[in-house]
Amino acid sequence: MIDEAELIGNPEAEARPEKLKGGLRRRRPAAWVTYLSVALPLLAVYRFLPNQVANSIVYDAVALSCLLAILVGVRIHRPTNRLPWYLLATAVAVWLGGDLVWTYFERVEGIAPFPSIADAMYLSAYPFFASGVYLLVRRHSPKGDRSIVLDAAIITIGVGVLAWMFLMDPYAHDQNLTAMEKIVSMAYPAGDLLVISVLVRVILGSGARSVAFILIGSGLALSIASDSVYGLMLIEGTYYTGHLVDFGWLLFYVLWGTAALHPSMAALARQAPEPRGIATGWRLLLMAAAAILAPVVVLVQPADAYRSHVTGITFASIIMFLLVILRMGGLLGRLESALTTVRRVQREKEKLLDRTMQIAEEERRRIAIDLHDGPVQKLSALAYRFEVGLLQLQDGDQERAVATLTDVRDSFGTEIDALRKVMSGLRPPALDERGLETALRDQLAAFRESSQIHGTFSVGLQGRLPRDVETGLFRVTQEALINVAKHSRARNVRVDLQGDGDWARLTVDDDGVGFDTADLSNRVDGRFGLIAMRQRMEMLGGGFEVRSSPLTGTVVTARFGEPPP
Amino acid sequence: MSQTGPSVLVVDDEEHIRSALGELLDVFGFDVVGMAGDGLQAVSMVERLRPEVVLMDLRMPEMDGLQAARSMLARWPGLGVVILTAYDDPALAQEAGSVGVFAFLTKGCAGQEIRRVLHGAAGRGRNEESGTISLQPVPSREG
Repeated sequence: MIDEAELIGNPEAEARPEKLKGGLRRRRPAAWVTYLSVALPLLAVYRFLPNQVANSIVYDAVALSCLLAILVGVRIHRPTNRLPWYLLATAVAVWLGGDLVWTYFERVEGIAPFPSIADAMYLSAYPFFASGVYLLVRRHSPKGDRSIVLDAAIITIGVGVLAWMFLMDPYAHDQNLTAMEKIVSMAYPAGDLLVISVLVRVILGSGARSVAFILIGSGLALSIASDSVYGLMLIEGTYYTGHLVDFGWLLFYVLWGTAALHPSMAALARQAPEPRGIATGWRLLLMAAAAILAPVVVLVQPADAYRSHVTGITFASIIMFLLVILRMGGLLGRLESALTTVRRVQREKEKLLDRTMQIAEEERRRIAIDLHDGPVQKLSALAYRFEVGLLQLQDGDQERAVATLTDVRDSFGTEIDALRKVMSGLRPPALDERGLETALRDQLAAFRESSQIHGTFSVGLQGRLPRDVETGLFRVTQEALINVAKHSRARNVRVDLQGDGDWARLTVDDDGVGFDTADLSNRVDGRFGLIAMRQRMEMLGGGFEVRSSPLTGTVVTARFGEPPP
Repeated sequence: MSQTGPSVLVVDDEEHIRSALGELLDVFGFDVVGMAGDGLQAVSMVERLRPEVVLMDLRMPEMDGLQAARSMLARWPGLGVVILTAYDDPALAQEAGSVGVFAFLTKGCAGQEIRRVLHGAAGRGRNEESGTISLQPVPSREG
């Protein structure tokens, strides 16, 4: 069965609808396509409508369509967290209510009260709007990433200074306005600042830039831009219903409606996999731009025009400066922490290298002793016995010579076997010739014999792995089994190997006494053995983990690649 | 075979080597008076059996070949001690020479070489007064 969401989200799938649906009926266009095909023509005719009544009707219809699109989108795509969408729907509904009330005042009553219930509705929507957007995209900011909050604060304050100078301060000093009129007039840009702070967090956050995410971000930006232009026009008295600035809000509604209907909306709240750079070039540029906004404006303004803003600009600059210091402190802290980690890893690597060299030397010594005690002695003895045989021949004692030389020949066979064992100890030929499965089976058999610990081997391996991976997994098993024999006091050990040519997972699981992984630093051999196993797997691009606690046994897992989903 | 050659004590911790050398020396006509598995046992057997020559390994448990040689030569300076070892190491040969060992042979050298050196070592005791035999390490079968 083909998932509808897959078809919608996949352009290739969308290009072949008949075959996928059996060719019997045409596939219904995606909801967001339908929505766009209705909403965009409405926007196109908005500018050419005959009168402002028609403008108001179309405007409210588009807002209503956005509200309905959000509700339908939530129902179709079933996002994990529906609350943010409901908060946004509430904001749109309240704005729509404000629009309707205002239209009633303007068109039916013929009045333009200020402040009115419409203003109360418009302003009360901001908290719903800002919290909805915040909840929707907060997972794009990794948990504990304070840098995004600081950056957002720096940029918001920078923009806030401008908002104060051009959108709020003129009302504050307008002698013709009452206190309530001043408060309400200034509350709009303040609400927009709240939204800007959320927008900045959206822009700075990490995570996938899905279609819904881009639509929501663009809608927010358009809404804020329209609000700002509208604020300026109000001060200059140049705004009228049906003006071009309305398109910003109309497009905002359409983009948000489309986002809610797009299949990618369900994944919006998915946690960002990892933080993006915390001091990327464009991010620093954005902050620098925000920080110098106010001084630049002061420079280009006539001297007497900014004099009244000096206190505000000074305070904003002080706060921004402190925030920048805090941000730099955070960066330095992270840098220091990263350096500490690098130094620790470096020390660990040096110790590991030292230990590896020691082990290599010990191994050479062991091999030399093995060769001295085994093949060299035995072959020397055989050489002398061979000479005895020759001397017996020279003496004409053929019977004894044949017996001696036959014995020598048989002993050579035994010595060749012994040499083969030394060779297998260095690198089992089965690993190269017959693969990891056979080599592990042989290794476990030898382990059973030498340790008297019962071992079982289960395997589900298709094909051969890359040679270095096979070697790595073999050595990890070898080291893990040595640990089991030396430290675990286990009765049983189970080796499990799963995978195919692209991935593998190896588990060595014993029922021994286990250990506290936190105490590893006190056990030099065990620690280096585990570090060596981990580094071996990491060098292969794989992973390694050990799970153990006292009395629960130990599970060592080595991974290479990922199994197909 | 009648034993008319010098008497020899074979010392090696490897049974295979002891047995093969014993057989070879027997064929060469040496009188193999005994075999020891370590240096300590060898010193005791020299005291008891008084061989003319000791053919001895270096690396052994309890007491190694050099220690045993030092102990033997301190008590019986005329004893011919020949080292037969798997280590082809000039430093060890030199150390053996400083102890007073007659020759230093490497395992695997020709049986005839062992025969020649053992005869020489046996002659050392007989000519001890004249001191005509000098110590010449024999590092390999070619040597």
